[in-house]
Amino acid sequence: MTLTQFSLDGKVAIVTGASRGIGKAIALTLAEAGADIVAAARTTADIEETAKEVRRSGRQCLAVPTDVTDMAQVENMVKRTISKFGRIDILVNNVGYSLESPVVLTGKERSGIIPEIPLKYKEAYPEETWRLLVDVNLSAAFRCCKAVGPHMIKQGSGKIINVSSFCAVVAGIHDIPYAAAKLAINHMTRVLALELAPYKINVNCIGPGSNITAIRWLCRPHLTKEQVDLVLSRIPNVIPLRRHGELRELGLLAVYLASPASDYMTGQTIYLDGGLTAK
Amino acid sequence: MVLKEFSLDGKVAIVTGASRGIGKAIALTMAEAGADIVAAARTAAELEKTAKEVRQLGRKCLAVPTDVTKLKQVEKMADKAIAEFGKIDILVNNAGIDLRKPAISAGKTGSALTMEDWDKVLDTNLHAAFFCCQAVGRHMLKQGNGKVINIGADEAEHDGVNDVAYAVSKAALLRFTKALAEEWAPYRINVNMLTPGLQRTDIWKNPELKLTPKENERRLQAMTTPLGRWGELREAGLLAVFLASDASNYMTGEVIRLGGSGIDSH
Repeated sequence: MTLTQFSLDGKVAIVTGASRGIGKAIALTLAEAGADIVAAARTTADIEETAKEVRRSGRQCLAVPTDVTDMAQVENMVKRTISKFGRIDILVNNVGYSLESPVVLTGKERSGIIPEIPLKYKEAYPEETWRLLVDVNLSAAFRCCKAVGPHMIKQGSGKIINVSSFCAVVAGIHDIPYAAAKLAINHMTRVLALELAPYKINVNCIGPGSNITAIRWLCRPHLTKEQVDLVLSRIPNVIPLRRHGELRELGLLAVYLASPASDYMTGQTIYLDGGLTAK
Repeated sequence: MVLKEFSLDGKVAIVTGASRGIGKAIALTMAEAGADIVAAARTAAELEKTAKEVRQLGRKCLAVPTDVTKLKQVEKMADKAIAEFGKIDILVNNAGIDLRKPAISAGKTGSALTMEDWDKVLDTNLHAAFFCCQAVGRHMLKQGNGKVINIGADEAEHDGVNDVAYAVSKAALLRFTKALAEEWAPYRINVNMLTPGLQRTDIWKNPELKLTPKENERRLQAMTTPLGRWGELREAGLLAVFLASDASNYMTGEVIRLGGSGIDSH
């Protein structure tokens, strides 16, 4: 098999939110395909763990503790990448977060997937939560593109990979800031792709479906762990391929989008979701 | 380092319209990725050329002259594939034609789409895909695995001026892709659409436009895309490999587009 266009040998990739979940899986799979990695996230211990695993596969990894809601820290992440590797070929804007709440609290909230369990929300979305979620899920990606873009333009090449969600196009209640921010990511992908196309920079977006990551529990403080387990056990029933995704599968799609094989693809949001958004 | 999930080692792929253009490129790239190929198209001579090139890559190739608008011939194609290889892992519904004519003639008589034109375009671009899915799907269902790749076009969702039959045929193929994906998901058959973007193939000859070769070339040169270039057939081939491989097992009902589709500046 000689399809070298799927290889990432010699490439340098920044992955935000590389401490766990989808970001970690993407970092590890890009590394397996040949890329050196800059792992960025807030928790030093977690990104050091990711870095260890990347190095085990024979690639270099720079772990840079970074809060992507702070432009100065984003610029520092980029500065340290250039200082160590001299280039940035790939940027994966993966950081994301969610917290579920109704827009207006009525006390009668029920979910379609666990209709038998009353949802004991403490409050409707405070405005501050809306701001935070839009910042983390949307503005952070903008900041990273702003900081990385000049380097890719100078290089005359680059691959930006945003991470959206099936929530961007499939409506689910009590998730408004996340859903709206993710759809905005899709359109930002299109507009940025058009803007950076003259510089041979590809901008695309991955739309994951349902995956088992920490966020699935963390976003539902109003439910017990067991109640979230129940939700997750029922979700495959509404997915055509009847299962959750595997994180490695997202990593493989990221490899395709980061590789020369996809040089003629830009502005696209590609869903990897077992058919969820196709229904 | 090329990850093993991108390999097509041990797979068998049927590609329609494999005698030239996108179909040929997909057949060759899949062969390079490790698949054995069943090449289908109408012209035996051109098909044999594709088969020879596949064999030069070290893979087997069965050339089956087929008119995919005829259900009986499509069924024979599937039967021959099973007889030769025992299974069909991948089906690429690529055969397609275009007839660029206005819906209503603005002056010259006979220059608008006739019902015959309409039927011809829909037969090749839509009905053929349906027939192939039926004939091949039968085996994929029994196998409990399969990858169907329908070749789309930008015109499924945009443009289409003086091209409505083509636009409609590709739009219908898109809807077919999503509906079939949901229907066949229980059998672990992935159905996706690959939109190749602007590719230099014979579909752009458009004799119905009655242009000189120079005029036609000028027409094509005037077309712009966000990335400032036409695609390379190999890029469509590589995407087809991704969609045919284990890497995309969780992708179904998706439309995946090359060429910066949908983001043209207005």
